[in-house]
Amino acid sequence: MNDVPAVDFQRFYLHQNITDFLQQCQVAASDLMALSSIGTSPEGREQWLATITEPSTGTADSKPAYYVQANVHAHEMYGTTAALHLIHTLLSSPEARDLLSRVTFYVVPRANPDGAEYALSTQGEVRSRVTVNEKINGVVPQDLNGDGMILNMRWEDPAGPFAVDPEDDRIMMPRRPGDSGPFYYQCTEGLIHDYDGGHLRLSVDNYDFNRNYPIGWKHGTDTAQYPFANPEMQAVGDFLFSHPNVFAGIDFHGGTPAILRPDSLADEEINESDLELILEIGKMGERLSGLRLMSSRDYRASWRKPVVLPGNSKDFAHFGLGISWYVIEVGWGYSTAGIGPDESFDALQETREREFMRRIMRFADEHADTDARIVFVPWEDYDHPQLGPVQIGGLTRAAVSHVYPPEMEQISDGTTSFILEHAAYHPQLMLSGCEAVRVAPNLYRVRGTVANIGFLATNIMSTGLKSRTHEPVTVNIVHDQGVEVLSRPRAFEFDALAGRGGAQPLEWFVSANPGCDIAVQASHPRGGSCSHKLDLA
Amino acid sequence: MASVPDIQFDTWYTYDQLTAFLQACAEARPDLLKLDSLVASPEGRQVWLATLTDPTTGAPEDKPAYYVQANVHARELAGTSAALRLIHTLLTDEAVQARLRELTFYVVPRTNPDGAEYAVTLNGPIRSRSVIQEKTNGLVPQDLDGDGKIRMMRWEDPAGPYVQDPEDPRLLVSRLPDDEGPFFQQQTEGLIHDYDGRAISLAIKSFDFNRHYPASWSHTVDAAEYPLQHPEIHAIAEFLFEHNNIFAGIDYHCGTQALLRVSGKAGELPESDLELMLEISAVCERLTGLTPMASSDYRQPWRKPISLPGNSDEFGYSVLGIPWFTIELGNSYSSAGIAAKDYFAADSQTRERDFRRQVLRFVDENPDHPWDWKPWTEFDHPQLGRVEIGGTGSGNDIMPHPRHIADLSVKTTEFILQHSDWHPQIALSALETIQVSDGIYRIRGRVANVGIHSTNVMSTAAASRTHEPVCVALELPEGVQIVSRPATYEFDALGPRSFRPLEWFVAASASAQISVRASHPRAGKVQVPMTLD
Ligand SMILES: [Zn+2]
Ligand SMILES: [Zn+2]
Repeated sequence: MNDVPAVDFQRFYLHQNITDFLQQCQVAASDLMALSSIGTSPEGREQWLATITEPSTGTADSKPAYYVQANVHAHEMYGTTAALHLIHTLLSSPEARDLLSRVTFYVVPRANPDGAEYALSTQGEVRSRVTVNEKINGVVPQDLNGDGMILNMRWEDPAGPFAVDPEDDRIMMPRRPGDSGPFYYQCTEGLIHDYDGGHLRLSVDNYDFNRNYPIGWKHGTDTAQYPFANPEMQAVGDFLFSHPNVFAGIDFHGGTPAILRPDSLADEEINESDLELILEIGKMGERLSGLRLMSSRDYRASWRKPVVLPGNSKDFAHFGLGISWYVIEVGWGYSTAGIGPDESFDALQETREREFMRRIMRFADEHADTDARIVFVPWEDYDHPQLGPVQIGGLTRAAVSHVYPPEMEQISDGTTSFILEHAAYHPQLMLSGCEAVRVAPNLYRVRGTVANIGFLATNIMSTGLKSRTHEPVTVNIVHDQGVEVLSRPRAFEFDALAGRGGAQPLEWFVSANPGCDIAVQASHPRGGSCSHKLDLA
Repeated sequence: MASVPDIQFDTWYTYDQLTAFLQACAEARPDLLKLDSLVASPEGRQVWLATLTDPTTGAPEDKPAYYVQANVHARELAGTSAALRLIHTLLTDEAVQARLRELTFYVVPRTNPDGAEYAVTLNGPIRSRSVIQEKTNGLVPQDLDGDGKIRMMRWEDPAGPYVQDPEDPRLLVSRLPDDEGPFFQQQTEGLIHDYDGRAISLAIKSFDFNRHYPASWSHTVDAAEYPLQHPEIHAIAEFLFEHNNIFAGIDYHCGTQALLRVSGKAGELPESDLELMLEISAVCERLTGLTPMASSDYRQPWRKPISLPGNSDEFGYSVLGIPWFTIELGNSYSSAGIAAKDYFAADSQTRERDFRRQVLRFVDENPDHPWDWKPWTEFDHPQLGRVEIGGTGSGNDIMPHPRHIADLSVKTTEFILQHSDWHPQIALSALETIQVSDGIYRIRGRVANVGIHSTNVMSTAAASRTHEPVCVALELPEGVQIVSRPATYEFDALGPRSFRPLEWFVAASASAQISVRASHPRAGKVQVPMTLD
């Protein structure tokens, strides 16, 4: 038994905590895990990459590989917890050992370390990254009262659009007919750029890294000016392009709990066999994780138009890389309080603004002893240099966005089981029936079959055939000096081998002296490699 | 004092010649031209940027700017010469120079210096960048016979798909049913990787930088993994994003002569944008004779409308929101007198035989043509055995006669200059102040756009990340305060020949000196001083 650290389910990980966890893992299991970084964030944090495989059966890049990333969206830091749980399981469970002899895992537990740090330390509003743009009457988010957090500011005004919930005075609700005052204006804590008393707006550009992938990318939807303009995402892209052995992956997010499948096209427009595979693996994931398999087109209120997310990771993986990829939405503040997909998608505004918020607060109250989240900060008077007397405080972003941390233990068990089973679906090359027959003095005919006995085809999805990372299955003869291949091709290249037994016959004529050794060798980045020795009798 | 050098129109520019030309210009007219590099290419060449303006009337970025680039496609060297013509005209023609008081011109005469150098020296097969990809039976282009050029290799084979043209045996053409032999195989001059006698294919991964912009980019069309992966185009895009004073752009290419605008026909583009593009195109057609077309129509009539995902017209129009045109300066066919419409209408046999004969005839009649023909000469190929190397490099088809560029570039330059006069232009008018009460003054006026283009230029600019509002603010001395709102006016856009009213109330003592300042990146800056009384 080694000293792989236990995953902390009491709280979420700051960057330093992740670094410590991974470094301890590496010390405890240096035989299985290598720690490196795929990139450095603009604020100087490493995007850690854990590479995990059993080295005695081959190097990491010689095996089919499974990729996991988490925390692309800043506030979805519990994906990190699920990713660390996977690392812990891979390094400590004896059953995982067998899988590691055939598969490599690449795990990036925090793809967006700057955003997550901002989210965890300030509670501030951020999708993946915010940058300040200077607008007239623009609120620049910052901590004013020195508590380290960026919360809300409110001030009374008879025309204000918010009122205090009479049942729970911590909740600010958008006002409705019949509400009695007092009413409030509310905005993000901060100073106002070029304030002339006019209407306030937020003075930030809010970047969503999950719209920054190049497939289906749209200017206007993405705040960035071009795909991979965010260095963290370019690092992810460069890593995936330069690792053609990656055959599958998971992108951990937080939201209404679900397993989301690739879906920028309607089902009728997706290749049938791809769709079947996507559904089959997704259903398996549903069974093992308890999360509902959904198309993100349907990840919405029923009255909304089908959701299209240009430049997201699922489309990048499916159409760009041609691999088997899912987004796992592990949950959020609503699901933690018992508000699941059936209830939340179609809930009316009033329900969402009032009843759901009350349930979220009730859950937090009931679990106050074990809940490290700060969901509410009491309103505190503050003399704002521009607005005059205001109050700072209120519900934090954690209330609605963050899962109750201890809940991650059970969720991670499920997601890790899914990932381990999904990883076992890797393509796997095998050589069979290899034989050398002497057909004339010093002339041998070598025959055999190369097969893929894995579940997935070597191209994984039909889209894998056109991917930049596409490579053929190659089979060649490795030989001593004095041996010559007379037939052609000297090396076989098969565009792809189907899963579960897709096979191709092999034949060479070789001139050699009796007693020479040769070997037939087959390899594919996503199918691993294998070889078969033959003595020429 | 150094003088502005003449442009050579007897040859295409190598990188060193181009650099020398630009440096000489910068030395001769440091008052008007500043030379910078946008980025160093992977092989270490500079992507030169010439910034032309009269700095005594304002910094380059404070004026509306016209952007011109050329030679994105490696072999389309004539674009560089045409871009140099614009620089030369701006530096030497005093009447033209007056524009530099109000305008800035940014000129990138060679966007792709590595590709161009490969084309101008070796003349090998290249679109924008060729990367060798080692594969079985892959032909790696290289000069084998030591003449410094990559030409073609041919060898006799009864099953070969080529035959000598019966009328001009210098040409190798696709065989037809009636042709008599001998028949030939033909490949680019080079060695073959891992050759086992089966079919040969080019061992290069070919990148087209004009499919590489982040606008309708398609991963199945661009060979790159993502848009702006190549440093040259990345630098261009960053430059264009950062310089939101640019209100129009030209991309010089070589091919069948045309003025190309963004794809899309009536009904597919906003009417006002299409109308504006057609108006600008009409000016171009009148001055240059180039036929305006949507790039989707740049094709043979029986082909589907072409789509060029990730091209510069799409980027300029959809992402930057400016009028942007590709000027196709011509090719060897246009130089030999074959009109664009005839070229598009012709069948493949006419193109391959009649038109190429016509080109060779033109070359024969014009010995100063840089077309470089080499008779087929025997060569012992280490893999293929006896072959003949000869013909011309793969780049020559796309090159017009330089003399024709000497003429045409005068006209395209005139078009660019006339179009540049359409820039949005901010003006302040009807400014007045009155004292409305003790120590309170009311200031009124108008901010107008007196240019022909809107400050938005195209409707797509409204959603562009480079979009900025027209700003009008007061510059006040200590002690003077604005008491009205807004303190600063922001107008999303000002249409051509339109104005907006302005009004402020300020608290001041009599005779205070203030000024009204209006600006927009694409429309310039104005400042008008006033005295409160
Ligand atoms: Zn997310
Ligand atoms: Zn071109």
